[in-house]
Amino acid sequence: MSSVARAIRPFASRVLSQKPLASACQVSPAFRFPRGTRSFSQSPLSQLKKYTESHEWIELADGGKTAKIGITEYAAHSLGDVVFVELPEVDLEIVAGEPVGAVESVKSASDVLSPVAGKVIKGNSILEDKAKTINESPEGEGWIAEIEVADVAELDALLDEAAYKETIDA
Amino acid sequence: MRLAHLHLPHTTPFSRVSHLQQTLTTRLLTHKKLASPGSISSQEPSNPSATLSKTPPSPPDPTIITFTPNPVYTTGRRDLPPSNTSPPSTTNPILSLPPALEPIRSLFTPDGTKPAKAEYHPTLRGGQTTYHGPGQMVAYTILDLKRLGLTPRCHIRVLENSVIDLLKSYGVEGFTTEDPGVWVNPVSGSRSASGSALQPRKITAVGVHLRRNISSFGIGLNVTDEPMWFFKQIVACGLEGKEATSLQGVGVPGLEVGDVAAAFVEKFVSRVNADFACGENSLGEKIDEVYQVREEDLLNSV
Repeated sequence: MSSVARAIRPFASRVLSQKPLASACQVSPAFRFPRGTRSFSQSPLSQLKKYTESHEWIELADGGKTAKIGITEYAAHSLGDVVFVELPEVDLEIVAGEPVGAVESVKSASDVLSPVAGKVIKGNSILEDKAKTINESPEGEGWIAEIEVADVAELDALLDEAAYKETIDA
Repeated sequence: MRLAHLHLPHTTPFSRVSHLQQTLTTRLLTHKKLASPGSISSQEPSNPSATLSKTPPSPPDPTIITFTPNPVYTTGRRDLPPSNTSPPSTTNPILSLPPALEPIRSLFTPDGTKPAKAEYHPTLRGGQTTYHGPGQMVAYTILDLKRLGLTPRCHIRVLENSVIDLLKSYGVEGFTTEDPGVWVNPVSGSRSASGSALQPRKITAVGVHLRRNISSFGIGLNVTDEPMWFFKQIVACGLEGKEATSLQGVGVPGLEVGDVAAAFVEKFVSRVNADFACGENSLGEKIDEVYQVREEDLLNSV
């Protein structure tokens, strides 16, 4: 799998240096590879930031080894005012689809599920004092965890922005 | 859609309901994982029961459990140490109490010949420390919010409004404040420990857990004054200086928990079916029918 990571890195850094292009190069929402097909010809751009149906986002950092995870604008909005964020412990080994934290609003505590497997580098300590940052900037300042990604190819199976938007509108 | 209603008629250990709830939640989550190809379900299910069940043709019915537990203090996520993204451990929790319960440690310890006065259960729900026990009707709703077309906020409001409707049917005016839960005004002339006769009192606590929009936990409504002593031992839900009350406390004595439970379910169903107003999408399914189930039906129907 490390060969995969190596293969993707140049893409990622190239892409990061010309970020404004990203939105212009979206893969059509109807076009989705079946699970298990690991095609990198799909679009390297779509691998930078991906989404899950349970409203998490994951964004690969430059270098493609680490990623930040958070909840989407839509999730933050539908939860309402966030009063508490549970951050993962450093070095926690996480499994895809299992909790990497929780976001609590008025009496609802929602699990935040990790989109991919990996190991926690750190939680976003800003949220310890200012949980509301999640409402203000869910896909920016309000990221929840930074992880070391076990297998970058796992991101392939996730939703791109257009496909994610489709699940919300559905 | 049909809603299963399980009422446990006798005072029951909290762990029994906790286990039931876990089973039902897992079932809904498993269905959801199998039914959503675009999700992150490419991984092996971590729960062994998930691998045993095959793809169900339709989603499992949502369930509401109404019960009265033995005296138990439960904590929410905020009161726990930060290592709790996994379910609570089964090791003896008495040894490590959250700060909120430290002052009443003696309640959890058997005293000579007498058993402990109360149990302690950490949970993953929202909200802070609360008490459940005899004289209370606890209702846990295990449902897929997405299927019902409810946002998390909306779901809490449906729970609160169902309680308010229920109170109304007993001639009691319930309301929400800036603090969560459902509140009532004390009846005039009632005594108050802290001289706060005019302050609203809390009659219902609300706390919910969500994973992939599957809700668990719910509400605890005080029917009689029996839970009051236990509430006085803690700062319930982190609300300093606020008092609790019950239906009995506001002049509605003699109610059976079972009757209150049945009435609550009725109000809940009407609210779910009527309250599309608070959801941004009105595409939720309605509840067409409520049917009674037994515990063994629920556990055996996998």
